[in-house]
Amino acid sequence: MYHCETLESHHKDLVHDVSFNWYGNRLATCSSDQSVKIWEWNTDQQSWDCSASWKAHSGSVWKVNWAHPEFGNLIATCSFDRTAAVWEEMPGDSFLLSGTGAPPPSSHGNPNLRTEGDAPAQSHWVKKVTMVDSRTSVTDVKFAPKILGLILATCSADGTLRIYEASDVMNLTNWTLQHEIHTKLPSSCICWNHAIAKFLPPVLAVGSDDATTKGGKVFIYEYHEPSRRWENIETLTSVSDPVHDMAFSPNVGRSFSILGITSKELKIVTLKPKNRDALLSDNPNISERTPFESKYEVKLAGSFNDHKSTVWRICWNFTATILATSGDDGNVRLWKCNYKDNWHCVATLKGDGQSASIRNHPNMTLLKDQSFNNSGMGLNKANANTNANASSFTSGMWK
Amino acid sequence: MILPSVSGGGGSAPPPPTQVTVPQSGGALGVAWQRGNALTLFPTRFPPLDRSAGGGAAGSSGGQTQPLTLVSWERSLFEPVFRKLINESAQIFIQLQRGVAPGCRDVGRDFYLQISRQYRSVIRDCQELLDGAGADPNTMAVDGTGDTPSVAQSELLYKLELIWNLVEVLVIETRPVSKNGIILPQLVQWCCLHFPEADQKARHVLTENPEQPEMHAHFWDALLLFLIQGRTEQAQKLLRLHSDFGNTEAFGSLDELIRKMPRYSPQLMMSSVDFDFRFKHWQKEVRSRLDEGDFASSHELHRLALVLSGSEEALSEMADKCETWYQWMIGKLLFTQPDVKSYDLSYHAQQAINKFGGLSGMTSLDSILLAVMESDIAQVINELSSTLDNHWFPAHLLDLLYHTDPSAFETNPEDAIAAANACGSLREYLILEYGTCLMSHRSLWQVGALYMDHCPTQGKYRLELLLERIPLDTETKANKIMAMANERGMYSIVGSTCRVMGMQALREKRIGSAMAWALRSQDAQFTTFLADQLLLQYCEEGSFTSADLLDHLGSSMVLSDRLTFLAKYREFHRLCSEEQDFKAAASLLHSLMWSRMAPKYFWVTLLIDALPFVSCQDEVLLSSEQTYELLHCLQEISKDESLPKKQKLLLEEHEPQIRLELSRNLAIALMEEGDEQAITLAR
Repeated sequence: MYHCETLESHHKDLVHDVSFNWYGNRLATCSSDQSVKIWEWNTDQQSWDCSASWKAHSGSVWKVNWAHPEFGNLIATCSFDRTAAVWEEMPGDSFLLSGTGAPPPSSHGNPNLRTEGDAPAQSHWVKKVTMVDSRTSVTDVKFAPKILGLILATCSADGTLRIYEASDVMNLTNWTLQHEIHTKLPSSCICWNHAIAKFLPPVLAVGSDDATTKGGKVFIYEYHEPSRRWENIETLTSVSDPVHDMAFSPNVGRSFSILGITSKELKIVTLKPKNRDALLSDNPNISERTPFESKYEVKLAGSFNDHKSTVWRICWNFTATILATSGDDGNVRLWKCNYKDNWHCVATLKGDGQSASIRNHPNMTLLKDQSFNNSGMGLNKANANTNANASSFTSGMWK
Repeated sequence: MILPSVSGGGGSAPPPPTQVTVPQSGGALGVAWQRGNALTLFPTRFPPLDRSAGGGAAGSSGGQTQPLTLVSWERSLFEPVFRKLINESAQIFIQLQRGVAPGCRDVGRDFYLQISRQYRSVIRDCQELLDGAGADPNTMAVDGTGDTPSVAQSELLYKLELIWNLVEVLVIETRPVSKNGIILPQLVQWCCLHFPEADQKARHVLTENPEQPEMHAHFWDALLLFLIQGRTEQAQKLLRLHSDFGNTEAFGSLDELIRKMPRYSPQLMMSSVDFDFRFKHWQKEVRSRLDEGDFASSHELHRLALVLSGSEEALSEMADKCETWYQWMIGKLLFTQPDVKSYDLSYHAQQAINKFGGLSGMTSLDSILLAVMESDIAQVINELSSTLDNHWFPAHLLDLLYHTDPSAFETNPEDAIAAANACGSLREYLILEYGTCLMSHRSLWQVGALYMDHCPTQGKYRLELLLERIPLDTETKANKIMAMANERGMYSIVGSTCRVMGMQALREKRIGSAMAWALRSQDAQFTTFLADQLLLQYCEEGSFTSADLLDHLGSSMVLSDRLTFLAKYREFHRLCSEEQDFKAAASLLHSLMWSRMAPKYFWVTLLIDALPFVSCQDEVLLSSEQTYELLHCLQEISKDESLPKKQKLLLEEHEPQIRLELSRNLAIALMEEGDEQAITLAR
């Protein structure tokens, strides 16, 4: 049984990205209207309240990404205005946040007593740093897994991948550009691998949506400690169509990483460390060889054209059990992997073609399929007056 | 959602995807995951295109609304009415896991039966709760169909209990004993329990026509229904109420036949052969009486006798009186093959279904019951998973079946080990799904965690992923998570939780609390940062906000040098104010600075702190050497360019005084020490 709720974003132009924080109780949206909005889940009223909205850039804001809460409440944004920025929520009027928070400011009083007309408490976000190194639109921005520290990767339309590090986690105004890597092709997306083992060096992948060349469009880089450089360990020649989005699966105890790639179709690629022993005894002499040799066995695990059109976005749930993709067919598809590592589409979500009016469907039953009740020959329950039919269980939406 | 295909064949096509329509303007949709089974969809444009570049002309969507749609699923269990179901079934689940844990004595069929009955009773309780809620006018549905959701859900639970009961009868109760055992008595009982229609009809008859019950339309139906449920005593009682009973031979004859009907009961220790012989003998007598025309006088009696005799024709006609194919099948078997074996049940079920219009006209409930009768557990679980919104039912059912008899999964005994493996991994899959679903709820997460502990392969990883994502709303919750993580050796979660809580406290300027979390996480860097914060705060305010914490640091102060200094500095304060041991205080102050344990920015404060000691007239508290060293520090700090501006100003203000007092103390100390030396020498 699917439950839907509509939330009016009040963005004045197209929304380009929506991102949940680590706990899923805060939401950031960014839009072509150059603004970013933050939404808080209000447990008492079971609703999403906008707690902050500000003009973040002087161009469309493409992506928004949350840092791990260990670093505080931080988001990173990137924009057509050729910059990326890191924003931090300043302490103060954010009683909506959590129970441990400071007592509610007196002006707001008890949240339960708040009347409809009151604006929700505004939290205050401050720009900590602007990354101005790019000379073209910054197409993606992603925080590294927290184990690597407070590190941010950006990629630009001119194909430059930049890695920034906050030298002092307690002073977020100070970021240094650690690495600048030129991929030669316009970059569209970037993603960090969630290391499957602690001794493995960090890995990230960059995708290109270049349509003019024929070669591979996904480049995989690995940080090479002895040379302190990011090395291109693999270029996926199996993906030669423009790539729009990518996502590594979260680490759930698998012995390999899974990379989902959206292109003309959905592609799923696995990266398996070739030889653990060789990895452990990694001495600098071996690494001198050129070209840099891949330590991973890269395999195309599946290629799916269920969308029957270009696939644009991809994301994993955090238990890495379901993959969601969206395509040009206007559908969002959910994918699952069975115990034999075969991927298949388990659900499609399709817009009903009507644009926004707020519709909520709180009606829920234990069923997701009516056939159980839609009885050809009735099983009449003993002492309840029954007239089981499909409509009694669902609102019209769900037939 | 949909479970991995469990049928062995690799070629089996995956089930077609579920189609869901969401309220969203068609066109391109973006997508983002929330925690748990929740997605956000938003209308957007692909590829992204900047419109501000195109001269600011707003595109088609400019000015329109930009709605987000939050889609979630597997939420029905989160309704308060199911809280009891969830909690109690978790207790039974744990009881079962303890019972089968290695090292425990062998548990028998009775243990599993007891567990199974407990599960069923929990389902029935929940059903009653729902019925109660349905009766409450306040909760009446407003969806216009007039049927409350609770009625629908109560009905669903009733059906689930029906399925569970059948599984209990056919798999848990029967199978471990013997695959060739007699199962009909249990089936008949199952049928009686769930189809009280006969009683209802009899009650109608008796209340509406107490004088002449046979005139009531339901009299004969009720009688027939009692018979096909094998309830001979009730049938006899009803028959005797007939006004002609006693007047006509035929009634007495039928009454006698019903009374004589042999019943198989495991308590009687009757062998199957023996029973078969008696039953055949009895039916022969029924047939001979029929042939003799005992019942020619009454059409109804004749028909009943035909049923007793097992006449195909009469039994076939009886189908109209039965609500469901299984009710008919059981009634029919009672008079044609009372010693039916479980492996034959599938054949009879198929026949009954054909009689009732074939499987195509049936519901999932029918196909699940059929699969149970066919002992195709994999199919049962598959059907249940694709029908139900959540995994509560299949997860608990399969878990019980797995422990009862792992090979029940496969009808082919040669493949028992592979079957047990498949069953084990499917069990884990279902439990993980169910537990994951619970863990996305803000208060049920603790129950969910219990289930993860019983998933040998992936449980730990999954729990770790889920635990670290539980929102840390309150300190209590954070403590619970940490206790849970500690118990299971997930130390990275303990550390991470502390750091997040510490950051949160810091953001709210509760530095003492942040420090407490930092100490728990043993994070030296964070501790140092916080100690600095406390020192800076002291510089500004002249007092400590978290003196208690600092006084009781104990051994944890060694975590960071800065913290050690902070604790020592606090000790200095205590020596001055509480113990009045100025000599010790002065020494401590000197050693803090001279050992360079104190951060540079704090030296000015320390030097100012030293003023009262050096300007003390009564006693020399600092030796000449110590004073000299302090002067050295003063010299160093006054030349330090990196000193924060505030400290610099402070130093400029006090430097002449400090220098003066230190020199004076040096002079006095030297004089005194000189005197002492002279005295010693003189002696």
